[in-house]
Amino acid sequence: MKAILLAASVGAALLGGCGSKADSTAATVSEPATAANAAPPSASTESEPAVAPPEKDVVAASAAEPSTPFNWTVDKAKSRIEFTGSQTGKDFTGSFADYEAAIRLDPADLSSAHIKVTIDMASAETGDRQRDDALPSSDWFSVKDFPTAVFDATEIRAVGAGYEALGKLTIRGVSKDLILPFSLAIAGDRAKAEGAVSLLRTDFGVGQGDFSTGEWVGLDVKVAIHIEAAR
Amino acid sequence: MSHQSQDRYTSVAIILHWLIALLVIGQLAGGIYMHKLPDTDAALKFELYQLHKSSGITILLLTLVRLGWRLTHKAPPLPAAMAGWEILAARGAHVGFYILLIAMPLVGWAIVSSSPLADSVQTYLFGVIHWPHLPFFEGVADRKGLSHDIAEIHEYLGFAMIGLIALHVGAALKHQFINRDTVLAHMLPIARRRA
Repeated sequence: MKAILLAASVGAALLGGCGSKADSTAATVSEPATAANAAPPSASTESEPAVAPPEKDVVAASAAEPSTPFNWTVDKAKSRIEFTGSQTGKDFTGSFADYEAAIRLDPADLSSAHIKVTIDMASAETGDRQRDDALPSSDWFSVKDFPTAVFDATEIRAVGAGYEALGKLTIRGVSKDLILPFSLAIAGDRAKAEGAVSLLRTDFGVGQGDFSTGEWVGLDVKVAIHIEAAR
Repeated sequence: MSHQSQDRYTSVAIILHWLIALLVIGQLAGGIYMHKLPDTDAALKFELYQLHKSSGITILLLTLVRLGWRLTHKAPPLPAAMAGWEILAARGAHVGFYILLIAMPLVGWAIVSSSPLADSVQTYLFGVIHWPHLPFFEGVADRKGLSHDIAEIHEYLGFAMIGLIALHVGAALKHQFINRDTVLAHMLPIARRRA
């Protein structure tokens, strides 16, 4: 509660403007505000670069940075983790509604980068009841035994204009090395990333028995991510 | 009024008869067609199987309603000129239809439920109403083999149905054009009164 009030007052002060009193309030508050950072980051972070004078901005930013070195909070309303497969020759696209993403990524210091995404496999939806009934079952994601899939990328490297995340993808308890190419656009405290990679579902045992061939359900699955995040 | 109700089946019975007749003919033709479709036509094949399941369960439910109706409403009397063996044959054919109309969907339901694909392909009647699988096949080791055997029974029942329809239609035409009695009129949607 206190944290929210603090953050709100900071935001109000910054938005309200130019008076030196307001600025000094912001400066004094910015240290304890690190704890408040987690609560409503959008209110304070978005308004900062737009309204605050440049010099003050630098001071405020440098004060906040050490504790949150390019840790990104995913804006789930604008982000999607999608998969496109084919059933009886027809493409379908689904997405995961629930996932946790821990993203540390500083383009200027890629050695510190780490991305870990944990996906709730029961949250897959493809817009078809028959298919959505099947996905959690033991032939497919087997969510009772394997509730989550994890992509743990321990290395991020710059490739051309974009990046690649190198790590392990674990689905149904099967881990495979994976390289996920993605583009990244950072504007102030907001970032957008787009990436896509093709998987062979049978590498992970997704589709057992009669579904381990591509007769009814295609073996190739394209995974596409659209992530918008703030820090 | 009473004369008409004596002469014909009730409107409910007539509607159920023709509705089920249309569905059954569609099921027989569609069933043979979808079974022969190559797997390269997987999308169409899949959709036709889903439709076949929906129609089959519809026939089962309509038949149960119809049987209930039949047991509580009198059928028009058969022509007095009919021989004993003819009456017996007619009754036997009608009972045979009821048996097949109930057995075929049940056996079809067993095919679906025993299939190794059952967990991944739930039945939604006409894509809307979830229809559960029969519960008897959970622990079966060779579901593929069992499902295949049950499918053979379904096929034989289908041929029996075709045979019975041929008999039934033949008999109706015989009554209409050779005996020239009112038997066909009992079940026609529009009453044909004979003088």
